[in-house]
Amino acid sequence: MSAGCAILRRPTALAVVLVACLFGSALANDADKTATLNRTLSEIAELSRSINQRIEEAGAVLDRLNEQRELLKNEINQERGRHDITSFRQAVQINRIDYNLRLMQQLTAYIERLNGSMEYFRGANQLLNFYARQARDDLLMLKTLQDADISGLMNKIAAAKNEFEIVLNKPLFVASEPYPRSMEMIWNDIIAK
Amino acid sequence: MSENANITAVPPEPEGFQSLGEEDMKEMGLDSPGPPGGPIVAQAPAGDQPMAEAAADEVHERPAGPGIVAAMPVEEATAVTEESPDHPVGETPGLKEPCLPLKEIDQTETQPEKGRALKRGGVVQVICALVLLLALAGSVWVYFYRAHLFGRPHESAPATVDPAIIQAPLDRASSPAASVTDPGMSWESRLQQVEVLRQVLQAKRAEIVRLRQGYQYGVLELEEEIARFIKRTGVDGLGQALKERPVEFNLDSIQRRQAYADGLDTPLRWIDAAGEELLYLQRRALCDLQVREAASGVDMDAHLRAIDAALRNYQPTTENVAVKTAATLQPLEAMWKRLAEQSRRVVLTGAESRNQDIVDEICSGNMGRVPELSVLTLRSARCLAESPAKELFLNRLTDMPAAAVQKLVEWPGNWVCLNGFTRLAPETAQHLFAWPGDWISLNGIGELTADAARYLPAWRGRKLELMSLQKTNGIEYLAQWEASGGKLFVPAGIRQEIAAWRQATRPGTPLRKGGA
Repeated sequence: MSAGCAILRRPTALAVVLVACLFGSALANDADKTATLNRTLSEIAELSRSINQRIEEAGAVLDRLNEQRELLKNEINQERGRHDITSFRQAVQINRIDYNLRLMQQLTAYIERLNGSMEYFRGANQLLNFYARQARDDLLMLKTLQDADISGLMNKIAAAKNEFEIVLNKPLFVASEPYPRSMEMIWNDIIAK
Repeated sequence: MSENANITAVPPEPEGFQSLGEEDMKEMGLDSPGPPGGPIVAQAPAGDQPMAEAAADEVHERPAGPGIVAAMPVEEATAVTEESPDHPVGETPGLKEPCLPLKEIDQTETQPEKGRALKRGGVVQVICALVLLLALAGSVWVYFYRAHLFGRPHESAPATVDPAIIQAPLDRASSPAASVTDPGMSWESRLQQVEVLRQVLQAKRAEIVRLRQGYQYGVLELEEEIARFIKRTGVDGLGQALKERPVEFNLDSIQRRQAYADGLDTPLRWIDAAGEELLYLQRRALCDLQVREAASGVDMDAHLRAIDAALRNYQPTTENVAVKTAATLQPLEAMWKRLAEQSRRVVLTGAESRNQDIVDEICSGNMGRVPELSVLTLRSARCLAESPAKELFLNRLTDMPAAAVQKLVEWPGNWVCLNGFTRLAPETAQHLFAWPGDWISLNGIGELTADAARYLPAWRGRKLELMSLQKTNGIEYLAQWEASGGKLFVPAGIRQEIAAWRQATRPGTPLRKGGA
């Protein structure tokens, strides 16, 4: 009797174990996704902090450069008044104006490049915020429905992260590229104002 | 190390140490053997050295000696050699009689005493060994950690020191080929050098400008003299004037001074160009220095090269600031024509000759008749400016040419009285209120225009007397100057006007920036 009972109980036990395993696996899968999303969210936050830091750095440099450009411009205007200069040709005959125009040309190029860099990082932050919002939505979905397809989002985030991390490790701009504005253009800007 | 141990054991022999030291240095690839002697000589007291050297010579003469002497302190070895000067030639005292004093002890002392002597000898040997060991350790320490005493560069320190620290000189930029891509002192010092050179150039510029002003003033002074001569004598032809030697000399001097003054334009232009380029290089480098952390492609080495070249090329050397005085001289005829024209504007007073005498006295250092001066010529202004007087009472003067006032305000005195002035021209006021003295008396002035008064607030003096002032449209300037700490002496009517102006404008009265 006892042997027969034992034979009957074995498949039941196996079935119970199987069901438990399947259910457990599903639970575990959901838990993994949740953890992945949470981890990704904190990574995004970290990346965003780094980007903001980079923006601040660029902003500080930019402020200094703008300030210096303004000083140079004022000096040019002073010299302009002092020597009664009206044309670019006359202007470059005065050493101080000539040198200041060169410096302004350089500063203007740097400022434009820094602005471009800041613009890129601001865009990066916006994209990361967008992905973070989607990740939080997916987390809610997981919590409520115990299922959500996050693979697409994860791929996009991974690609973005990869790109931004590479850019973060690079300098903000390349100083050695040619200056886009000629000295005469800068002179014209000064006298136009 | 083993060489050092041998050196320590054998009494010092300077030549031997030197040769050892040289070999040692050569092994290290160094040229300088360092100071003579080496660690042992350095350790020996200066007074003992000749005796030690003598002892060493003696010891070296005995082939078997060192084996025994090595175990003895330097002092004992010296005693042995001093007390055994008469050994037969060829005899080896070390073999037969290792040590003469010991032999003497053998003859006089008992056995226990002999044992004690042996024990004492052992203790002495141990002490000597310890002393030598310490000396050796000290030598090694000095050799490695005070390498400069041996003429060795600091880089030759042992490998335990961080190589990066050793290889990094204090100022990397001091070497022309030094890399400047790392942040640090190098750029600071480099830019400092540029700044210093700029200041040097500015100082030189100011010096040259002063010199040029001196020549130009000298020209004006002589021109004034000739114009007065023309007026006084009625001479109007150049040929006739040249017959007068003083006129001829004055004309020549004018030509020469003018040529000097013109010649100074060349170094001034050079200094200006140099200063501007240095400023540009400095600013350009600073601009890239502040972005080099944030940008790629910043070529700081190019900046360094440019700055180095500028620092080399823009030194105010004799060649660089040379004056070219070979410029063409002003033609005499043109100069004469101009002076004849100038002479028409000269007003000679009845007291011209007396005035001339007073000027001569002032210029020779006699200031007694200064109050009698009725016309301030450029020459008299110069002589007054150069005088050591602290007070000038020029109350007979009714006016002064602008150039004369400009010169007079160089006078470093305290109080100038110009009570003969009845009006103050704006140009005169501009120069007068730039005078660095304390006290100006202008008690003859009845009316002060705003155009003249506007220069007053900038004056750093303490007292201004305007006791005849009846009318002014520049009351605000008087009030401003007084509010900034000046003491104004004015009649009651003007005082009331000042008070009214203050009342109306309170609390916006601007104050003087610096103390008087």
